[in-house]
Amino acid sequence: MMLKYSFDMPAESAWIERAVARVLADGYRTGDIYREGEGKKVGTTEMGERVRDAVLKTSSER
Amino acid sequence: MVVRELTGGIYFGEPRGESVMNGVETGINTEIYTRPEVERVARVAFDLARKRTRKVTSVDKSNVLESSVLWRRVVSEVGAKEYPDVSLSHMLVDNCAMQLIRNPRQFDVVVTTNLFGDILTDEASMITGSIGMLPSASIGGKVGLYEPIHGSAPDIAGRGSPTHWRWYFPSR
Repeated sequence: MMLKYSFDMPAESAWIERAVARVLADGYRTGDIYREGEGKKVGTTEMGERVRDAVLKTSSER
Repeated sequence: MVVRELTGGIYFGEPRGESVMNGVETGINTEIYTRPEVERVARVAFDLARKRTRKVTSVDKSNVLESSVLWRRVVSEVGAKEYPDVSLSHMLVDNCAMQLIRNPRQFDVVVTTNLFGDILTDEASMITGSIGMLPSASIGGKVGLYEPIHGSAPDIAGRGSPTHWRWYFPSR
């Protein structure tokens, strides 16, 4: 939101949104959105690291 | 995306306070908006709409409240004069509370008062599954303070509990 609306960086903003979508699609969930039997429950540290790694990946794609 | 007016309305209006009137305990708050306050927040909403789908819904209670009659008129004027390329519609807040549950996709940018925005943003957050999914920002002039919508929760920092990583999430 900050990148898109304050900094006019829509491409970088989209990297982050896609990274988050990818990590969720891979089944990772923090406790607040985890449901029994759906995906893998992780802590916020691991979730943050996974999003960061996904950003690095999506930003190098076209 | 909901644009909530943040420094006016009933949370700050005078007169306010508790007293005893004619022997009866009484609490008073005042819903008050001025033209410049409404123009300012309307422009924030219209500017955001231009970066999205150019669609604004202004939410008020103009069938009962005079402050909302002014709100609706000023938002309409700003839209017509300065943002003819953005589509604007109006909705009463009670109907909006229903429509958010019935069909949230009909909305893009919602602009509303401090009180109504306080309630509607919490309602809307549940559509995403968790209030932690949402970013928020306080915008004033050229400054934007971005933060998680739920605060920083320092009492559970460092425990890996859900609250700290999600401030950069998609806005819809």
